[in-house]
Amino acid sequence: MDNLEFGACHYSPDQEQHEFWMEQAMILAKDALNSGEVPVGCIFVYDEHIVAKGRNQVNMKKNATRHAELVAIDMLMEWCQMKNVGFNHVIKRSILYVTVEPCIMCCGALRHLQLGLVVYGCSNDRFGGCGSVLNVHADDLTSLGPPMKCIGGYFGDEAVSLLKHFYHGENPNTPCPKIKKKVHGDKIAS
Amino acid sequence: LADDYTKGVQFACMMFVHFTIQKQYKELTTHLPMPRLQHLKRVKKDLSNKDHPLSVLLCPDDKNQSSEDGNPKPCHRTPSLRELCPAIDLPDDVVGGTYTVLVPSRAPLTRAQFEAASAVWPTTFHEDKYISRLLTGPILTCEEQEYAEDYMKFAITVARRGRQLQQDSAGCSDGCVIVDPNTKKLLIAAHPVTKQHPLHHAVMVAIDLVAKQQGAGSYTYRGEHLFIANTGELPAEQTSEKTGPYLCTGYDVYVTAEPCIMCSMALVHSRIRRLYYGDPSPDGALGTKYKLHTQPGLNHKFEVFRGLLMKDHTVSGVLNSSVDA
Ligand SMILES: [Zn+2]
Ligand SMILES: [Zn+2]
Repeated sequence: MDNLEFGACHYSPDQEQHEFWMEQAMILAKDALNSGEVPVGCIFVYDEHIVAKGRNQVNMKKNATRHAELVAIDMLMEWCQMKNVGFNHVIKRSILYVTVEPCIMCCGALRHLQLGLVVYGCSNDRFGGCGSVLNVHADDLTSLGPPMKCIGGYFGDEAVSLLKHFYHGENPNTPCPKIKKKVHGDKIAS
Repeated sequence: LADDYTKGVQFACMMFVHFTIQKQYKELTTHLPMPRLQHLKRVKKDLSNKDHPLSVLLCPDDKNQSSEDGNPKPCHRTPSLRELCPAIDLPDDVVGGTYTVLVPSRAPLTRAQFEAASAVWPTTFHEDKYISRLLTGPILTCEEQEYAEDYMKFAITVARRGRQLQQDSAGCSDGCVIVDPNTKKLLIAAHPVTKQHPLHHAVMVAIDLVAKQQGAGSYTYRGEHLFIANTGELPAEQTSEKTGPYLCTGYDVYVTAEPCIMCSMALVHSRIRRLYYGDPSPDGALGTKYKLHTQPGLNHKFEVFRGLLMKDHTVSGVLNSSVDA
């Protein structure tokens, strides 16, 4: 019998498994850092497997919306096409592991798609959509469907230290570095 | 505009002391600096009080709660100056009693707020000429209005074409046009492509097409599904690193309906200058559900104009009737 039919997120990882998946997302964040992008990485886990990966590509694509989450969503769509399974079906039963709290835009996107669960590392005090700046995950938004479940705090410190590393250098494509605020604690930008 | 501009004056409790001579008030301010509430003038003159014509603010009175009706609710005795700050040594005849008063808690943003605040306590006001113009006069010049309406009409044309191609409309708005206001050049026109990708709202498509113009971008849109006016080819040397445009900095965006939270934040990330939209949306993020363009804490803000072309009919009204016809 198809156990996927028992509602969203039939797969419920324990603490240790959450940590294991988050480590995989962290590898992608480091990859972003090495490529001169804001170090945020993420993976989609579906049916106990990684089905899509993403990391920030804003500078490479000259598109400020190429956050790790949206890059991974595109990869997930490709995976679904390849496997010939319904994208809507898969994403509702998937878990997103992302090193930083999704921003307001990504949170809106993930709710549009009715993602099953978000597990994130550190909070995003400048743009966070899962409680830091706005509560896009939980607010009453009829056109976006039911609220989205979020858990934070996995490897938060490690995610923060990557961001600090990035912002202590300079983003070479930002024309006015003086408006870029120094990062303290877990205040970050993505 | 943020609600702050239209809000009435809010109050906080402050203690003040009656005082005689201007000169000795220096000693007060060195011992009791007032780091918060910088917009308040420290001294208020009251010539009807012969013995102590000056009232000097001392410090916030946290024990007394401010009340809604504009009167302080004294729930404890205001301490004397000597009790507050023993280090200040002034002759008794100079210092009068201490009292608690309600003062405006925030710097006034508009002339109306300034006048209301000054009636309570002298307040400084740095008038923002641009905001004042927005509040009092016509916001756009005639020329701007004309241009804006033309671009909005074009956004509707794009939306109409999109509906014909897609047979259904989805996403937060049906048409999006991006313009460089300096050169008055139309850069991009896009409609949603949500059949191929659930997140390809018109705004998201348009932002990626700008990236494409700048030599990058992420998607290949199949031509037969998209009507793109790509008239604003950037000169090759401009697209090179550093000197080229950075994201959508400084651009104006026209959309037929109020963008959703995802698209609105995408416009914040892209650093646009100004957004014009036609109709409000139930879950819209620029005025209806959220006011993202005035959200405190975000590193970029842009101006939002709602209801262009709405004098006689809604944009969706125009769009629907023209699609049916
Ligand atoms: Zn994001
Ligand atoms: Zn949208």
